[in-house]
Amino acid sequence: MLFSILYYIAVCAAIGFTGEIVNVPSSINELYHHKSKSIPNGNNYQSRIKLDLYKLNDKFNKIDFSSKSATLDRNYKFKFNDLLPGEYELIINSYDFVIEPYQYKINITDDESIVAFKHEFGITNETSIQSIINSPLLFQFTDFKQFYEKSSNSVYDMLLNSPFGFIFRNRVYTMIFTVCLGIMITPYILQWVNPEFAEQLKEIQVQEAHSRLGEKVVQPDAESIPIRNPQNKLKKRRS
Amino acid sequence: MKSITWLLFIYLFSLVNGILIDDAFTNREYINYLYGGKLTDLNVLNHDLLIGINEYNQLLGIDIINNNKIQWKIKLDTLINEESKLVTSNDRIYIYGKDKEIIEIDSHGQLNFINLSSVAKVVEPGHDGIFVIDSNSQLYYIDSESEFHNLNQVANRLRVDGSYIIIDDSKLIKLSESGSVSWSISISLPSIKQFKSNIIITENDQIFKLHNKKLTRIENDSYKNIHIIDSNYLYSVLDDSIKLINLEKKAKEIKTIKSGSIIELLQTPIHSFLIVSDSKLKRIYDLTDLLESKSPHSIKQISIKDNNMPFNFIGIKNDELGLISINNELRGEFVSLFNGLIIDKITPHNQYYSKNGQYLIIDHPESEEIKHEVEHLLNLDDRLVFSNWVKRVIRHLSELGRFATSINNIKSIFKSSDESNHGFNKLIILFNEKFIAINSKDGSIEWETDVINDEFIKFKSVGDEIYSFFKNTIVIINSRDGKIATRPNKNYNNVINVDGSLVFENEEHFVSPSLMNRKSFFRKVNEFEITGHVILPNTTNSIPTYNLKFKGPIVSISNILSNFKTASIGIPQFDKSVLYKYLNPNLISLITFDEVMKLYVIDGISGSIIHEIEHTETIDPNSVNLIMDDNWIIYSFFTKQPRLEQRINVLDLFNSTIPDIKSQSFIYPERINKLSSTNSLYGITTKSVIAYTESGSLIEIPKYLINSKRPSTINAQELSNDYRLIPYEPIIKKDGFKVINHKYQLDGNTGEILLSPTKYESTSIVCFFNKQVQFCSLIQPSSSFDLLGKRFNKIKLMITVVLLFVVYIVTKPFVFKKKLNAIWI
Repeated sequence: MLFSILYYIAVCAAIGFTGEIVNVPSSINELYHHKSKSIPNGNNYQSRIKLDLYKLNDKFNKIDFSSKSATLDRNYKFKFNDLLPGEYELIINSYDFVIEPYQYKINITDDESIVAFKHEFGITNETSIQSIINSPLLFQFTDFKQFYEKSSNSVYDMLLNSPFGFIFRNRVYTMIFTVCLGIMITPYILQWVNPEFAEQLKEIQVQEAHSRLGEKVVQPDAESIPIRNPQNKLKKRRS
Repeated sequence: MKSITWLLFIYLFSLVNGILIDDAFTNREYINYLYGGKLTDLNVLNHDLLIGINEYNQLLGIDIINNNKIQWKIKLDTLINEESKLVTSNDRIYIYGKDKEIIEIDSHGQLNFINLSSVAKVVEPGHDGIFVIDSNSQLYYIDSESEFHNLNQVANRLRVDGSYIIIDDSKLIKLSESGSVSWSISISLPSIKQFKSNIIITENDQIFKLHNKKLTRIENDSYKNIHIIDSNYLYSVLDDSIKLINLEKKAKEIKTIKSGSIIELLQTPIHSFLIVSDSKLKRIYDLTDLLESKSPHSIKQISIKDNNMPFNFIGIKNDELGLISINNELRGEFVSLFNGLIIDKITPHNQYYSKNGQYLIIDHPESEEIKHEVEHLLNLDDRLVFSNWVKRVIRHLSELGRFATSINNIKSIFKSSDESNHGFNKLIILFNEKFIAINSKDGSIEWETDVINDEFIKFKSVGDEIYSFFKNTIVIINSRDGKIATRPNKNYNNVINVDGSLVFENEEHFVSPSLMNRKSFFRKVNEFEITGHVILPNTTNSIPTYNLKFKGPIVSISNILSNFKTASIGIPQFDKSVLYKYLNPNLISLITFDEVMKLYVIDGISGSIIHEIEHTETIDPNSVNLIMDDNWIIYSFFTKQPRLEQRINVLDLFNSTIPDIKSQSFIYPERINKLSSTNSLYGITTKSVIAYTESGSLIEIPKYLINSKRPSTINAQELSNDYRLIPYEPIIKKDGFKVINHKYQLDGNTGEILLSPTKYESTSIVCFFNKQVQFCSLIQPSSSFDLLGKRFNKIKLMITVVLLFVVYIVTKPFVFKKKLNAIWI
């Protein structure tokens, strides 16, 4: 009897599981680097991630609100050892990263099997069941948490956040936009830079347009040009 | 001319860009990470990073060379126990002894867990890895790639010198580059004192030199208490002298120097320094050239004033070698080891914290100059017209003079002479053996009092004074300069400002020093009961009015602040009616905890219970927070059953014969440790709830999100029923942009959230203080509607306006000419 109790304690003490956060970028360019600011654990993201394991089924009406914490190593791996059979809830909370899922339900049975379900906001995803006795429990890095609003930082940011933002986020669209803008404003710039050439270009465009329409180009004679406000002209010249 | 126009355009564009760049987040906040008390296990990694363990079991990495700021911080609570030990190499820290693992921490604070088959008993850093003896007395070598090499040796004691190791003082092993045993010899020596640079010193000062797999004894009959410098030199410490010894064939003295109270050999791979300190002078002997040239004349000596700092390390700053002399509060000096001059004074930023967690935020008192000016203006009507006129002319002339003198520094024209005028400077007052006032803007110490040796109970700000209650005395502090006045305490523990007169509270009742003009109501809270008190007109002592006893202890109590202001007494509805708020300043809300958690809303005058809510969930009593503001009550708690989640509940009170109370419950994705709410100068700005969360974020949650009126479905008309009314969603998402402390993670399980409005309606100051961090920033719940950004550049704006005007003048003839030409054509 005593031997079986000791064996049971030894087996229970050995139960545990490992986990890992995957897809974390290796090099991260943080805004504070450019601002020459010193932030404790600024590059040490592992220390800014909290993993809390709560035991759910308390015994003898003694409710334990404390949690068991794990520390991540430099490869974002962690482990929980010495767990007793029961139902647990694992919550991950990263200061810098968006991690999915952020909560797992862990079931440890007496026969040493450990299974995990995704469990967010009280909803258990039964299809996400996985055994974590021999393989690590995986959390996915999905994004960085954004703390700094950039909308009013610069003209470029304003452009990015404007309805035309989608153009400037895509290199091809930006190039097409730039070429189109160039074609549109070139005649106006030419009027300043080289008015004669601009005039010629205009005439060429007019001729091209007429020829496309199959019309004959008729040069207006001098008499048909209307004289606008001759009185005003005189007034101006006198003045 | 055209090119000039283009240049002007480009310049103007750059100016516009300059105005728009706003890096306000980094300029509006003050943060100071405290070391967390005196540090132990001090050491230096890579000659620039100081490591130490603070009083909260956190391992800190501090940039001791440049700014004394914490670079990284690791919580050791779950990693160590009483059996744990810590050893350091040149660039790494190893912690072992708790579990079947060694925790390797690099100079960036990153961890590597090296798993073992049993608990490590001894860990010794070697040349490029560590030697480990586990609890089964097995010896391993673990290289820098965490590769295990079983050396197949039974060992209990270890001495390491690079790739040589001595096991149990009886066997010497040479390790190969691949990590295996290259050769080993048995040795038979009296107990070994030191093994270094292929030299062994025994406890009885015998010297042995390792050469060609053999230990050769070097004759030494004269020198005692010897220590190794390198393979050729030793030093012997005697009562009155230190002898430098050469080891050619036999130990031979080459130089004698005067001894001191503390003798320390500090070395880098290249340099060696012998530091000899007495209480007044610290002599530094540079032995580097001696070891190279073997000439005793090459020893350089510099003397510096001994600052009696217990810890000395070699530091390197910009390739300059220096001596870091510090104490465990990290105060000291960084002295050049070449000329003895002080490179830097090592003075950490203020390390003050409140021992009992009480902090007070008050407005920075106006300067004496402003105060006199205001008093003068207020008293103008009391004088003769002519004297008033003279005073006014003198004041205007002096202001003109100030303006004229400030023209030299053009930037100063655009700066306010006294920024405290706008209420942006606050003072955070705390007591830690003495009272200290910290400026919220930059953390500078405004004033501090003398040490007060009495048991501190509580303090409160009343006008320009701070009333502090001690067991035996009441200390009244002038918040302008920190001057104190002391008087005996007649068992008072609190003071309340009632219409300008002070009422003191003791264990039994409330006492007014003078007769009260009108009825004043108070409340007294004990663990299980709340008692109402009233001081009747023309009396000084209060009498009890009601008494409410509860089954469980009161875990949280809140009421609306006495200086509460609101600009809105109702909410306009889409049908043009108004939903009036229930704004009763006498309401008290409290939470009790017996078998279940109960919230009571009580009328503080009559003691009648207006509302009562019972929560049957399994709730952590330590997680309960309660705040009350405007016409609402918000309380948060962490539940374990039915689900593990953080709840935020809200009660909104609307006017009716009895208050019409609407309630709603929300879930927050993170555990909340502390709650508070914003307030503004006139109460026009929308309210926000400030939550300090478990991960160290100070988050602003707009009140319109925690709104009991959020309907499950909404139609277009109902949208205008309240400010930013949106359909009900049980989950309030965590918004990174609403994290007030941004990238700066705050530390500590709890702390004090301090809020105070500025003189701008849009802006309040928010601070978070505890034993590990001091943080202050601005908060603008309705955005910055009356305040320009800190980086708004008035000078560039003026230049832009002037340039635009110049461009207008320059281009005017061109425009005129063009118009004229157009008319001619």
